[in-house]
Amino acid sequence: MELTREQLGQRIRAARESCGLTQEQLAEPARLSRVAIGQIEAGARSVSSLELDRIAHAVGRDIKSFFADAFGERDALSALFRSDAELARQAELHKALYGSVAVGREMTNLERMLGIDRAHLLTATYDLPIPLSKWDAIQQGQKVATEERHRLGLGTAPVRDLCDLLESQGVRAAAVALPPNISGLTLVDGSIDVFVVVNAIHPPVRRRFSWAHEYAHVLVDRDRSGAISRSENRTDLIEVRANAFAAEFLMPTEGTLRFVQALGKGSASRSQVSIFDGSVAVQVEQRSTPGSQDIQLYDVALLTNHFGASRISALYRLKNLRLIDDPEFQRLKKEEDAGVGQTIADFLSAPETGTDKAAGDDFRRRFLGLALEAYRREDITRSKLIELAAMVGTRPGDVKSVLRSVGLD
Amino acid sequence: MTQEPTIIIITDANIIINLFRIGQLSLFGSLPPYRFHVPSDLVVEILDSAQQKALRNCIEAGQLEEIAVDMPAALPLFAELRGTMSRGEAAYLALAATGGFYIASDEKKQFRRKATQLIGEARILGTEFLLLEAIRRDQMTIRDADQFKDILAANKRATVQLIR
Repeated sequence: MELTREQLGQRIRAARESCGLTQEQLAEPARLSRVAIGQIEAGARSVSSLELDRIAHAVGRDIKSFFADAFGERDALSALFRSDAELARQAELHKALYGSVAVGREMTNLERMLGIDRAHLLTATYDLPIPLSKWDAIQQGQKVATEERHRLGLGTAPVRDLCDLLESQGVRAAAVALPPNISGLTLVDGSIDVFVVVNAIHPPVRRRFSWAHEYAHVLVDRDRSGAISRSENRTDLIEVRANAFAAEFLMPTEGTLRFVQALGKGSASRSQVSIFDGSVAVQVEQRSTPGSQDIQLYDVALLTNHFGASRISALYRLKNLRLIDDPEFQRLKKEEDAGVGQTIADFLSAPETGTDKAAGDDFRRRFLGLALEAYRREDITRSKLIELAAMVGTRPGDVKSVLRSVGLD
Repeated sequence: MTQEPTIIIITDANIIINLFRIGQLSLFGSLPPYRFHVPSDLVVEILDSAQQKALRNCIEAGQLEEIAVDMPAALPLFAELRGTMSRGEAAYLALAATGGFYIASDEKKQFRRKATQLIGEARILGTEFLLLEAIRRDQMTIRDADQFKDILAANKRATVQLIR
């Protein structure tokens, strides 16, 4: 729809304000002066296609949305930024997230262009009441994790690649460098569907936990347009619920018990059974060799390698499952803190994560694959293909080479 | 003698690159009544430094005019085309479609189809057209044009065929 200069200016202002940017903050990515931004917003200066394209990117909008009959002043990411003044002040975070969202939107465009229906991929939702207490939140998180494992047919097995799993459930997943206190975020928006971002600067094993944590938000909190997981809000009930989900999803109770039993551990040191023969009961007692059931750090290393968790999170898991008591937990944690766990893991060739694919690679591969297919079907131009490839770090020369190789040049 | 009316042609990057490769960027300024324009969106897409410099020189010499696409009618079309085209392509096609201009482009496939749909086949000109116009206006000999054709053919992106 054609707009007057004033109408377009008003929409640009609304989009800027909705994501908490000042005119000065928008001026830099738009490569304009603050005065020029003010003039554009007031309708006193025209905006060129080049400038509008940069502005749209900076405010995380599809450029088409500016000309839609109904202009939505809010989107998921801008709502998130508005909800947290501190976030809005972090220019680098802003840039990184809006960049990710732009790629997510292009992915959605490609899928729509190629007739890929994500609706059938969309994962389950669990309608839960708001937890009344932390205990309640933990129970809810664990219950959903068990049900979701059952729904996915995972049994008690480890989940090898969380990022793959999310993608298979229709969730867009990307790893982006975020401030250290943010582990991840979940966005739900019509233009990007469900989009999960985890912090790329965190170690792989922590990212695994973050993927699982954000997956909980996707399953349970999808009615919210967004959720951000930061260290400061870890005691919020929905964050506690998501953490309980992640712990149970990554290391299911049943699977953990079986694994520990397979190591010959985890039984009580003294077991008593009464066998009733119809008239009297015969007492049977079994005592384990003293110390034989004590879980050691090398057991923890094997457990974490199996489930792809960190040794410290596994220690808490074992404690919560009452497989170790508090003194044992303290002893093992002290050893872990002293570096013994790493030495043992190296000796056993049992790193904390069994699969350590570079985060975001799956997303990149899928994105490039769809872009190539769209080009092959002549849905996008060659220059657009090169532009899309550049968004995920692929050089124009590499695109040209591959097009020649596959006979698409 | 009546002067021919000016015909505005919006040029694509591949034409600029082709003329750069044969050292004939100045042709843009020597084929009246054609007047060549290039949108700023496209200028920033030329990344090769030598090509960029030559293009800047060409603009500064007034052979090629750099323009901003800011007409209210062009912007919504630009936005729509962005989903399937690069910024530069979307800009010059939107400009040509809403301004009634010609385009110079050797692009095929999706771009050609969309351009034909928006402005019609007759308003799409290519490198071969420019070389023929140069011959017609004694700016170039047939022999020169043949040599240029060989240079472009040697390049992987060249698809020029001179029509005799």
